[in-house]
Amino acid sequence: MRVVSDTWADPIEEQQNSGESQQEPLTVVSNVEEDIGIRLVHALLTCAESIQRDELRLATLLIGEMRNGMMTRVNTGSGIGKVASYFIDALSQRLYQPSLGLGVMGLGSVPNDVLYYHFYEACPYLKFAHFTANQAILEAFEGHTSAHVIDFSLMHGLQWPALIQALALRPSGPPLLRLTAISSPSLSNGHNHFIHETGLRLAQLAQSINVKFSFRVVTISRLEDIKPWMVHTSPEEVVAINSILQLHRLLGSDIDSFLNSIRCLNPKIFTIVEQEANHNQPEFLLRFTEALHYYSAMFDSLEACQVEAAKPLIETYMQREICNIVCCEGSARVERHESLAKWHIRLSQAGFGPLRMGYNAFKQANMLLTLCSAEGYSVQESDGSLTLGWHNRPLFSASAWQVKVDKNSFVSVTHDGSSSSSSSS
Amino acid sequence: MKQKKKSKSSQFCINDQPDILVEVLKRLDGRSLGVASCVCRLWHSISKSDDSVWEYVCFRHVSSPPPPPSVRSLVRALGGYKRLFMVCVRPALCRVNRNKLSCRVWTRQGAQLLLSLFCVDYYEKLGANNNNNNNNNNNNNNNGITHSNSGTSSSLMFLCKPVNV
Repeated sequence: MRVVSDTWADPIEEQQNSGESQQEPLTVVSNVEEDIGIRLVHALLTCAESIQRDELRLATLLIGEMRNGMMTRVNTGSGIGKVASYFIDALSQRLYQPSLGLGVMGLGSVPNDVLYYHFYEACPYLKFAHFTANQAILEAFEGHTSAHVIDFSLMHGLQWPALIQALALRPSGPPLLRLTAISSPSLSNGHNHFIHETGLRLAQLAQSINVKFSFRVVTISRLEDIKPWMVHTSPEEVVAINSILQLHRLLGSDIDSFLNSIRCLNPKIFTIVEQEANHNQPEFLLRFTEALHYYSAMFDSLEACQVEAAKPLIETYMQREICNIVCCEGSARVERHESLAKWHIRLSQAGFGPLRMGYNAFKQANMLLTLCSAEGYSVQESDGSLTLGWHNRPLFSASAWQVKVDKNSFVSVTHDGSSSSSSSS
Repeated sequence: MKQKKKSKSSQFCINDQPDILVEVLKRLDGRSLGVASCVCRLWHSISKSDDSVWEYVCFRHVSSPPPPPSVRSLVRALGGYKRLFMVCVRPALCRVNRNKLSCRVWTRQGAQLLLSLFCVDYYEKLGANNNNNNNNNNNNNNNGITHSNSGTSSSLMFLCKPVNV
């Protein structure tokens, strides 16, 4: 895998050069796996480029060559072979059956939450996300006796036991904790049937360790329509808003009004964990190339995973993301990952400023990695945010934000949640 | 003469002094404590009922001052120190020692992380138990977490080496 990744330094150059190689017959001089791997990548990128240029016959030809030629000579159980097989499937789906979405490849059978759970269990990424966000939230809740968390990514609620426990052990005693879970088809948990059970379990846990806790669900059909009055915050409580791998889903629709509504809730902290990748470019080839690189690193890290039984499910989880990035367009494309730098700009424009993750969060993330079996993961800090990566390729970033208070303007929140601001200059 | 010696030495039996016994058992490492609990009924009951023995095993390696009393009630509510040791501390120590990273001294933060993981484990078991109760009434299992009735927590599997039970 590493040999192949060296050749990706200039993907644009390569696909220009590969224009000639399409004409040569694909005779392989040496049977070395890495050679096949490099050719496979060339072929994938050429195919993506031909799709972008609407040269569909050429694309079909390349897919055939890859499937019948190169893929038979490469090990599809691991490494570039495995990643390539998923991308070839995604490309062929884009060519042949774009309207069928995920169902055609049998990806629709396993519920998303089951896949998510195995992803949580076997890889450190989600644990990193939860613990880092929790640490930031814990620090923000310091000194308050009434706290409210608004969570857009409840799933099985695995993030919250650790926060409830940490609050229980606060020297000043636990605050009254309210958790509002947002349920919406726009979110990856979709129709979350077990959201109430999750709330019940969290309440049971909180009761066992003597933390006053209450749980509420807010169901909304379009996330952008969320308004502060739906969430019932009260002035004396401190509000934290949490989004783990959900925010990018709104980039296809009106994220600005969503961020504005969030801002009107006046949270003390807004924790965001996102994939550290640029999978939202309009140009197909750029998106494809980025995704190939990113998911190769992800699959690579998966090989180091100890929980064998979970691996196929995690692969399916990633396969769904790959398919969405490669096959879908418009409102169907929800996996619109953007890098932290881009989120920085977007959030700044929406009126948020970064909140530095403390050193405690960094230490905790490193400790979490120590307990994790595989070597190869690393946590890095940049500008107050933490990123978790595999062999120096950052894969997930965790950041915290607060509402910017501009000295020259004031924001007033009216009852219906709209905000008006006026500036003196 | 021999009988006299015997009667002198038989006047002291550690089992008659359970508080001293507890003090001794506290200073054992996990494995030795496990072995000790198999010696006789008294030792077994002490290691089972007096969770403070396991508390020392768990937090012996924490470098900073001993944890506050609120930790004790929390751990007891989540299943006890012995369970904390078995489920979290022991695999973590094995992992740290295997990696030959920092020595056997844990920081307070490491201990806090283990407590959090222990809490997640308790939460997952709640889910498993609730589902076992619900499954009798409801065949349609919406909660994707349940795997088996053994109640093994899956999220902590990354800590454990695969064990053939």
